[in-house]
Amino acid sequence: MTLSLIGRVSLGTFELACNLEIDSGVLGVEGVNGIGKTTLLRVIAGLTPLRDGTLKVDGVVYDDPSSGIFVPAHKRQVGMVFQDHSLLPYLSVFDNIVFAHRHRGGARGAARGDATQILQIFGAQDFSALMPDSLSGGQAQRACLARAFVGNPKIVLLDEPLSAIDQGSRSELRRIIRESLAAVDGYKIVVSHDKQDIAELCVSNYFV
Amino acid sequence: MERIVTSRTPRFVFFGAWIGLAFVALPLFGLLRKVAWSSLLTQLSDGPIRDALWLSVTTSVAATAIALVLGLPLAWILARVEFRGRRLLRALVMLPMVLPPVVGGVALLGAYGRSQGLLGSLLFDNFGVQLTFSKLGVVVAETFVALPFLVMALEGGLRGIDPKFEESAATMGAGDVARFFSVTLRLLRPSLFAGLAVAWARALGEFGATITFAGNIQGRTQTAPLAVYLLLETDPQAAYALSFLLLAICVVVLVALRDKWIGNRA
Repeated sequence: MTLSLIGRVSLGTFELACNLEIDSGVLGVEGVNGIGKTTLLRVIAGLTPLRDGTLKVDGVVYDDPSSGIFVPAHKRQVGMVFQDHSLLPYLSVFDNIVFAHRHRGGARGAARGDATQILQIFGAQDFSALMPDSLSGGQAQRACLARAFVGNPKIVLLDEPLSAIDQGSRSELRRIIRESLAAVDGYKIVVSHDKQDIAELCVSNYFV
Repeated sequence: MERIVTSRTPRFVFFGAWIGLAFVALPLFGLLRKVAWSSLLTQLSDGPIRDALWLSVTTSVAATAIALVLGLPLAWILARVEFRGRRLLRALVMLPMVLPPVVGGVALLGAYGRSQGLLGSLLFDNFGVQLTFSKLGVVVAETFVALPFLVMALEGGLRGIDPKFEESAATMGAGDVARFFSVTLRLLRPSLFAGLAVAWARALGEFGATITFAGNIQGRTQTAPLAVYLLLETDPQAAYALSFLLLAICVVVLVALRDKWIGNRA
């Protein structure tokens, strides 16, 4: 089972050419800022369409402009951590997790239990009742991580998942992410400019 | 309020501002002075006035609801879909805002009039529905003038929404419909309330298009503003009482709006 992406994306003034194929191991993506690492994740998530080429997951075409096939983002079973945290501002941390759980097709009765559990795993249980605008950067990132992993996504995309975490808790959270990624039966990509993140979280590297 | 600002503002600006304020405030004062406070309630509960008020309330609420159903898709297209002629579409939708209301009424007759209207004659011949000189016609006229206010507020609101919230909701598996209702509409709420309030106030105060298109039939198409106009001749006391009530409603709407806008920023 593989996820393969061969194609190009328009990025305003330049274009990004990708050629990658991944299996169940965690892929790390490195590269300087502004080179298109985030765009690569957006293409896989279904937020930015390919200009040409093909994205295939488990043999199913997700994006192929030449044949007009495009599977929309909400059908791709993606769990994503965005660079700027994107918790829904009108829901508490807990309700953000429940929202994700519900829309990923989780059982209604299991939502609260699963949310509590995942928040605990990421050390976010203490502020789960808070609204996003009263969180610190690190807290928001933990909440986003919990939200990305809840409800068994098939593709997990983490964009700089440790950027707002202070040095003291970095290694601990790295361990949690590594374990959570290992539990995901699917495709995992981590974007980071931190070599240590990539080295500890990922089995293979991709340079953009 | 701060010294630096005050020292930079020339005196003649203050002078002009005071005159402007007086120009606006004096008529309000003049209206309040004319209201017979002791008999206010009796006058407002008089049969024809009550009818006019009730008609105004029901038609303006209906018009606001229709404007919302028609305006939200328009606002969405204007804010988020790029196509040739978007500016033209916006100009067209906004036109009733600047159009003389009586011209709007004449235009409505051309479209929805019973005999000469493009759609109106079809409606009457096939379904026996007549919009002119009916309560439904009042709603049509009010919707026509209220729609642009709602579209303007909603378009602004939609443009102000950071796409990252809808995008992250999509990655969480929320489809188009779920995203629309539980993310976009929710984030749009402050603009939605503001737009609804302004559109409703505009519908409530509608005069020109209503009298042209729906007429001025007491108990059927005579809304509160039309009643005020007629009463000024026959019963000025009642006209002032009703005017005061409309003024009070508008003040309440304005205050509610201000709170909404502040709530949005917090």
